[in-house]
Amino acid sequence: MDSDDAEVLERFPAVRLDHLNKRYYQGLLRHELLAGRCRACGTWHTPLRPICPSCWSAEVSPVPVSGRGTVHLLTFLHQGPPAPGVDYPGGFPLAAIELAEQSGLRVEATVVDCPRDRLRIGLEVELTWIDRDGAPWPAFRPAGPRV
Amino acid sequence: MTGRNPAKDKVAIAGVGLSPYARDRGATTELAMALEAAVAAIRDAGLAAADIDGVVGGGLLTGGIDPATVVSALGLPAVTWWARTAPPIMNHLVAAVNAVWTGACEVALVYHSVYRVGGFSRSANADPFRRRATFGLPDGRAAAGDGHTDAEPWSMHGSAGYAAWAGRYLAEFGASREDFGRIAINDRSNAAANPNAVLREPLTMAGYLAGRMVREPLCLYDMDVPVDGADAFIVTTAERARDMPAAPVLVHAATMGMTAPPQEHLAAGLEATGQPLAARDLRAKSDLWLDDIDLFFPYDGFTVVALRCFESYGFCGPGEAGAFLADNWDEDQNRITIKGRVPVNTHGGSLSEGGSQGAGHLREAVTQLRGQAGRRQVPGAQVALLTPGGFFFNAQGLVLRAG
Repeated sequence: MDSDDAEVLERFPAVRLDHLNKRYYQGLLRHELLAGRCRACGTWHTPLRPICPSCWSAEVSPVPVSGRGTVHLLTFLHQGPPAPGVDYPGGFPLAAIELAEQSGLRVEATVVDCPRDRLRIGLEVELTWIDRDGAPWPAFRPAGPRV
Repeated sequence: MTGRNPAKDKVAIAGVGLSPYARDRGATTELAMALEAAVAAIRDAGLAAADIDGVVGGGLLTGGIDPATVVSALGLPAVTWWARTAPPIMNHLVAAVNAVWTGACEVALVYHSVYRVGGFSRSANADPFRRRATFGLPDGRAAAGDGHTDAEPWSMHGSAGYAAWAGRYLAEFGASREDFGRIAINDRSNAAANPNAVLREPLTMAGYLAGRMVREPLCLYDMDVPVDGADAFIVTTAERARDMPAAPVLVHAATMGMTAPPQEHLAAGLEATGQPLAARDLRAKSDLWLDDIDLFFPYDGFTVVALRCFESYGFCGPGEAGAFLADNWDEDQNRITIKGRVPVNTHGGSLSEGGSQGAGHLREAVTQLRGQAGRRQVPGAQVALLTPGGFFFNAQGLVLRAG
């Protein structure tokens, strides 16, 4: 076990880490959101896979995404297990964000800094970060102007 | 996908057994309930321990009872085939049908149990023994399933995924929560005549719409009700079933459907999930279809699943299920009656009888096709269509006929 392994194991004690997905979580510690990308066919995928789900090439590696996307699925959770920073009575938003890189490439995350009446399917969003148990996790907020 | 169906009408359900459903059966165990159902099913079929040479089953929240435990606890002396399966019920039934058809066994005991565990409901969490029964990691996250190691409120695995697709259904088709409500009200109206149903008080549309919001847009009444209980079935050859005490119910066609990617948050669209695939494959395998059925059992772990079934199986087009239910609504009975003839989830379904991953639907279908459903009996019922399971990694379909 190298020092990078020790850090990710320590920072994400509740995650079922393995020798593949640890690279995703190591990315989170660097504030990088990673998705799998195939060097043979160029297709992206989530979660990280050992071979490309499209062409089965083993030439896949985690690559940072731009962080821009749209809300594809959205629910508001009004009850659930207690979690720091999660406000159930107000309806805690949980979304599937379709990333700009590719149709169907999605990650699950909450949406922050967005009034309830603006938050709907189709909203353009961008990556930000929240703290969960002392580690950075991805979240999304309404997209600012493209620069 | 294949239209091949060499086992058509060759394998039968020859016994059913129930361990009654309740909101809380207190200080019992999952094994006790599974065995109660199993013994009832074996006796219903007029069999004894030595006749059972196949064992298959499993449950959801605890990981279920292992076949070896059932063999041990029932003292089965000679078993030549077994499998541990995850719900919904068709995982169990398809395995049993295939085992009987291929000769791996002659008589299969199929069992399914639901045991409320800690983290699943407040009352269950108050029982320290139920807290220890949870499958997976100590905080309740699933032990199995890549990409599913996170739980609510951070993941769409399970209930939150259905809520999210329900929201997309409403947005895509301009549907309304009243469309979901008709599924819930239909179930509740039917449950009134089912002594095994845990929710039997009538539900009005106003009551539905006032239901406590849980996973928006799904409210309390859109999600199946947690219960303790178990079901068991005896599966054997149609030939042998004809010599048994109960009227046989033939497995006419059975299927399962899954498409990549099956994860809730990654599914390409409702038109591309396992549910329409199961519908197409079942259609290819079955000689009997929508005009031939006397009973329809769309799976209703969530109202949106059952509503979408009407579209996936071809009763109506995409986004038209709400209007279809309105057109086929029996105001006097406050329930769905397709073309004035075919009732839907006559036992009250997962939403009112209790959530049992399709086991209750299968028991009710067999009971109806035997003509033993009492006040709920559909006169002369010969054919039933069932669609156990949800959209993503567990869609299933079944056509049963009276033997």
